[in-house]
Amino acid sequence: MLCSCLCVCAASSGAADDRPWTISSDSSVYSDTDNVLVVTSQLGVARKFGEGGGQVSATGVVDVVSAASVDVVAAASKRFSEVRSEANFAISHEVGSFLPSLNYRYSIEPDYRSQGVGAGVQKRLGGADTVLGLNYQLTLDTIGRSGTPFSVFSRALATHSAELGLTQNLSTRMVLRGVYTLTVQEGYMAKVYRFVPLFDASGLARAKSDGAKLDLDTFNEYRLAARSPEQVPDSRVRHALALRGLYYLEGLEASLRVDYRFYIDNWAVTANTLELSFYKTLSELFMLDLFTRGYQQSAASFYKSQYVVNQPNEVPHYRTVDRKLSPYDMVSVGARIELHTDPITAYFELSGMYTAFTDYLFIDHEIALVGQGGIAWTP
Amino acid sequence: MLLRMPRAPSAPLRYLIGLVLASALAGCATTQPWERETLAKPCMSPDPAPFRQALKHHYLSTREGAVGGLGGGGGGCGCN
Repeated sequence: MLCSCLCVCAASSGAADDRPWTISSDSSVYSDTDNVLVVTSQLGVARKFGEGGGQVSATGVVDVVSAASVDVVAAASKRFSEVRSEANFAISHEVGSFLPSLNYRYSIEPDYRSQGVGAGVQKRLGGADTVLGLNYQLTLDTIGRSGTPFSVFSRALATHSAELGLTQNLSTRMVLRGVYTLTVQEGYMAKVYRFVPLFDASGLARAKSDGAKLDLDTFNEYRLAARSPEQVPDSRVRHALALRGLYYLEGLEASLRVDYRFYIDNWAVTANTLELSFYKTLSELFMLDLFTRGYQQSAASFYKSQYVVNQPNEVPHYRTVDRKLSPYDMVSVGARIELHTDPITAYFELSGMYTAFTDYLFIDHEIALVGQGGIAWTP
Repeated sequence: MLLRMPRAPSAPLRYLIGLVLASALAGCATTQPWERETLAKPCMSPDPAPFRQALKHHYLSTREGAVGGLGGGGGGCGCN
């Protein structure tokens, strides 16, 4: 259906350039020291409409996940493997100085279904040096449980996301972009497989007298018998403000890119992201991108690495073992080499990430490697 | 009360907001079409290779607690 729609839209365009089609294939392999392996393949087709930025595109994505991470092991579960499939469709077409767009996405895996629709518009202000963008995205998720039909168990999550962006050519060699994103989520945001260990004062005293540090290997010995399912608030309001600067270094035939993002939400998580990239033309055929990214975040207000209760039947209202709600720092470095020939472009990228969890019960650090490659054909 | 409202913007955030507003005000500065050769280079595109970026953001979103700030449009040769 997506392909036929692509063809209809493509046929309706009379202002397309000489080679408007791009067919691309990308794949990535993610592996980390927490026993997670993810292999992702993506196939994309795009058709441009002239030079105004309009295009129609479709992508299909398949993820194969195999994991025995601490989330899984701490819940006394075995390694699991599953496949997630996703389809995306997007269309935009220039109308005067406006570029309206629509998109649709659907993804499915055994215990999760998600679909999203979005609409946006870009507007050139004055000349072509200033572009204002406004986008809205609605995502509706249905969360299930593996091995249980959705008709027996399911939870809903609605995500509204609105984004305002301004891109400005500051000079003949400098571009600056500012983006603000407001995301409002309502619904189920815990994970059905996560259980939160609870401790009391006597258990912690026992661990102390044994000289045991509470971690993945020892926590079962000192926790209370009851394990509570994870529970987090069912409403989250998230703000992100990001800046991207690009500067062309004439003598080096390279560009320097700086990205900064500040994030804050009503769960009291704040985060700072800084990314630097040096993107250099090596020859007529090859380009090299060297990049590094730093990420730091604070904990959610209700997050604790150890939930300590006074009574055995006492359960904290909100409790989580989600590492993405804990305080942590992450740094990544990587490089990408690109080959640009006339009908074909190809690339290979390798990056490594180190994460330091400063207050997390199960692990204190994690190392991840990501390899990504792709090829695009413009017939 | 476990849920807190966002605090007033910190000093770095205020500088960031100021920088965004300054860039908006700089919109009165224009480049002519024949001056955009550098801006049209692939390395100056604010959104290079969207399919590749989508895959990268896909795994970053599983590792970072923050979301948003990715969109935009425009830039480069000024052709959206």
